[in-house]
Amino acid sequence: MSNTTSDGTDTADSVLPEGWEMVIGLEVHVELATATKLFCGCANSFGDEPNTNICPTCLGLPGSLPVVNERAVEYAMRLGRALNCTVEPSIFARKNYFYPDMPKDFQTTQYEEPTNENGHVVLPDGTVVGIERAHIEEDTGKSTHLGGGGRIHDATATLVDYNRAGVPLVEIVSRPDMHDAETARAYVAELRDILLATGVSDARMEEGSMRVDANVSVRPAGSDELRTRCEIKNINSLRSLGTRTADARPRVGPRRTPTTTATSPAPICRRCGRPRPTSKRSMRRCPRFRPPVGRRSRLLPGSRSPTRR
Amino acid sequence: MSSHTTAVDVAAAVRSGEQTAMATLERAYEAIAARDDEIHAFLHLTRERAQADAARVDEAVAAGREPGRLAGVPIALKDNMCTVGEPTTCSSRILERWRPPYDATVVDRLEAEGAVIVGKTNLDEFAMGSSTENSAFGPTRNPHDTAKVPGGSSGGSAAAVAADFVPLSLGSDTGGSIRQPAALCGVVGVKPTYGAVSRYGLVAFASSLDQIGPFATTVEDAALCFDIISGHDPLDATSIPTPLTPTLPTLNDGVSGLRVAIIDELSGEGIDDDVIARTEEAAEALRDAGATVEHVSIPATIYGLAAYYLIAPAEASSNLARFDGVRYGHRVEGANVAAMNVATRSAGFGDEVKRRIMLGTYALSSGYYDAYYGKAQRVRTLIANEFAEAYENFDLLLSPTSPSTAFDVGAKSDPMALYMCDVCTIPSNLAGHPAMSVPFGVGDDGLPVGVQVLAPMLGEPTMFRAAKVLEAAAKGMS
Repeated sequence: MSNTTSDGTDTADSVLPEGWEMVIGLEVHVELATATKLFCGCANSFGDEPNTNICPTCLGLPGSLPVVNERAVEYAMRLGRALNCTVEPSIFARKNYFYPDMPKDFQTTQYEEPTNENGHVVLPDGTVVGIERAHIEEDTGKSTHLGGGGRIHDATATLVDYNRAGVPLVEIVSRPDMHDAETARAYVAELRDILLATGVSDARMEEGSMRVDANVSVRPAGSDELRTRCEIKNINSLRSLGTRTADARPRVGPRRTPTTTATSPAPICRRCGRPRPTSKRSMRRCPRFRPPVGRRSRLLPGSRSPTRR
Repeated sequence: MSSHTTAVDVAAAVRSGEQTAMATLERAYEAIAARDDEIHAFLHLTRERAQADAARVDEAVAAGREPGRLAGVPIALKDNMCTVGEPTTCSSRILERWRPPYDATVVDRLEAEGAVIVGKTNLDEFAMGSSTENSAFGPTRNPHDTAKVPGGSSGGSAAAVAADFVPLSLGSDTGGSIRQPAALCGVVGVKPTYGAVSRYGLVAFASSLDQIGPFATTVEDAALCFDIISGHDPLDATSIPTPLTPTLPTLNDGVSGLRVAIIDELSGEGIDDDVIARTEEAAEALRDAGATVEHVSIPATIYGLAAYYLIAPAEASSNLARFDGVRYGHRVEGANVAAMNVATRSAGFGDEVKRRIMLGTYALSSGYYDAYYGKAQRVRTLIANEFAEAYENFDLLLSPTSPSTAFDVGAKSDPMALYMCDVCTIPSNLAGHPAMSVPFGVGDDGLPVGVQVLAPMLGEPTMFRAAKVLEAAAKGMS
C-alpha cells in the first residue's frame, strides 16, 4: 500500500509505529429524497425560508401524531437491499433528550429492530466493508447560536429553523473494517454512488444531505480488539474525511495512550450533557431509550400509508 | 335545564324545527351560568364557536338540508382536546396561554353531525388524577353533593352532563378517567377499544393507553356519540383501519343467551360492600334478561395497578418532554437554554405531574429499563392473555367501576389512596379492550354507584346491549 494518497494525505502506515494499525468505522447519515417529511406532509426541501415547511406534527405541537411516510420506508428498504442487508419489519423507538432543535424533545428512530441489518459493501479494489445496520430516523431542526463561542452553552440567543425537523434520514453504520483514510474515502464514495444509483438520496455532502461521522482507534496489527476511540463529527467532504481521519491518528495512537485499554470511555453528549452511547449496540445503556408507545407499527412491504409521497 | 334532556331528543326537536339550535344553546349557557360557579365543570366557554355551530345547524334546518345526527346538541370537551384558536390548557399553567392552530379529529366529526361545541371542561392536570382536584385552575365539585369530588380525571366532563348543563361530553380514559367519574357522577361513561376513536388532537398522556370516549345521561346517547366519533382516521396511525360495526342498530337486542361473568379479583377486598351489592344486583338483572352469569378469576388483574403506575408515567415522561418553553406555552427565562427549560417546567407543572415525570424518567433510565418498564410490559401481556382466555368462555365481564362512591374533596391527600381508585378500570386500558360504566342505583350514602361492563376488543355492540338492559333495570329499581 502506498504511503501517500493522491491528495497528499498520509496513510496510517507511514506514521504509526511498526506493528500497529488504524481501525475506522463510519456512521453516515443520509437524507432521503422524499417529497415530504418522515411523519407529516410538509415539504422536504433544502434552502427554503426558515420555518416555512412546518406543521403541528413536525413542530411537535400538543395533540399532534406521526404517520409514517411509506415512500421513506420504501427508499430505506431499497437502500438496504443495495447494501446487501437483511431487510426486516421494523419498530420505531424514542431517544429522549432535551435540545431546542428537536421539537418533541425525543428523536423518533429505530433501535432494537432496524429496517436493515448485517450487510456489506464491496469497494472497487475488492475490499469488503461490513454494514452493521441502516436504520430510519428523523432529522432535527437547525440551530444557529448567536454570541459567545457559537455553542449553545455560551450563546446569547439561539435561532432555530424547523424546516429540517422530521426530514427522513437513514443512518448507515459500518463495521470497523477500514484501516486507512483512503479506504474510508473509497467507502464513502461507493456509498454515494449507491445512493445516487438507487435514487434514494441526492447525497450532497456540502448541503448536508450526506453527513459522515468517523470513529477511529488504533491497535496492534492483526488483533481484533477495539480500543479507546476518537469520534470525528460532521465531516462534510471526501477531502476532509481523508485529512481529519488522518489527523485523528495521533490522538488515539500508541504514543499518546501506550497502555490504551479495550474499554471505550463514554464521551459526554453535547446535547443532553450525559454520557453518550458510543455505538448502536451500547444504545441499550443510553439514557432513556425506549420503544415507541402506541400500537407497534410494523412496517411491511405493501403496507399503506396516507403520506405516500 | 333544557326541555329535552337527551341528545337524541334534542336532535329530533331541532331537526323537526320544534326548537332551534340557538335557543338550545342559550338554554345550556343559562344552566351553566346558574350553577357552574358552584360546580366548576367548565374552564372556558367557547361562545363564538358555539353560536356559529348553532347558526349553521339552524340554517341547514331552515333550508331543508340534513342537519346531522347531533343537530343542535350542545357538547362539552375535556380541555385536553385541541380546538382551533380556543384555550386548550390540560388544566396546566404550562399551557395556560396556548391556542392550538388546529382541531382534534373528534371535534371535526361532532361538528360534521351538527353538534355545538359549548366549552372546555376541567380535568386533573394532563389527565393525571382521579378526583379533578389536581387542576391548576381549582377543583370541580360533584353535582350530586358539592362537598364531594366528581372523580377524575375527566371530572369536568362528567359533572357537566350530571348537572344537566349538556347532554353529551367527551373525556379521555388512560386508566379509568372516563368510567370512574361517570360512576361517581351517576352518568354513562365509555372507554372504547384502543384504536376505535382517533386521538389526533388529544394531548397525549400515555399513548399506549389513552382513548377518547363519551359521557351521556343515557346509553343510547353514548352509543350514538360513539358511532359518530369512532372509525379510521388517516391522521392517527393507531386508529383501526377496518370499518367498525355501529352499535345503535343492535342496541335493543337484549342479552338473551349472552354469557357474562363477574371478575372475582375486582369484586372483593378493597371494594365497598354497597358497591359489591349493586354489582351483584346488576348481574341478577342480566340473568333476569336471559343472560347466564357466572364468576371468573383473572388473577393477573391484581398486578394491573402496579404495571400501570410504571407504564403510564414512563410514557408521560416522554410525551411531556416537549413542554420546554422553547416553542409555545409558558416560559420562564434562564441564563441559558437548559436553565430556561428547568425554570419553565418547575413553574409550569403541578406536583402530581412532576411526581409522575420523575417516576417515569426513573423507570426508563439507564439500567432500570428492563426491571421496570420492561417488566411492567410483560405483566401487561399477561393481563391481556388472561382476558383473552376469559373471553373464550364469556361474551362480557362485569365488575364495579369504582371501589367506592364519591368521596369528600380533600379526603385523599395520599397519592397511593387516589391511585387505588382506578383498580377496577386499569385492566381494560392495559388490555386495550372496551369497557363502560353504567349508573346502577346508589350506595349507603345515597350517592350514585356505577357498574362496569367489559368486552373483548371491538365488542362495543354487545357491551352497549348489556348496558341498555342494566339502564332499564336501574330505572325499575328507583
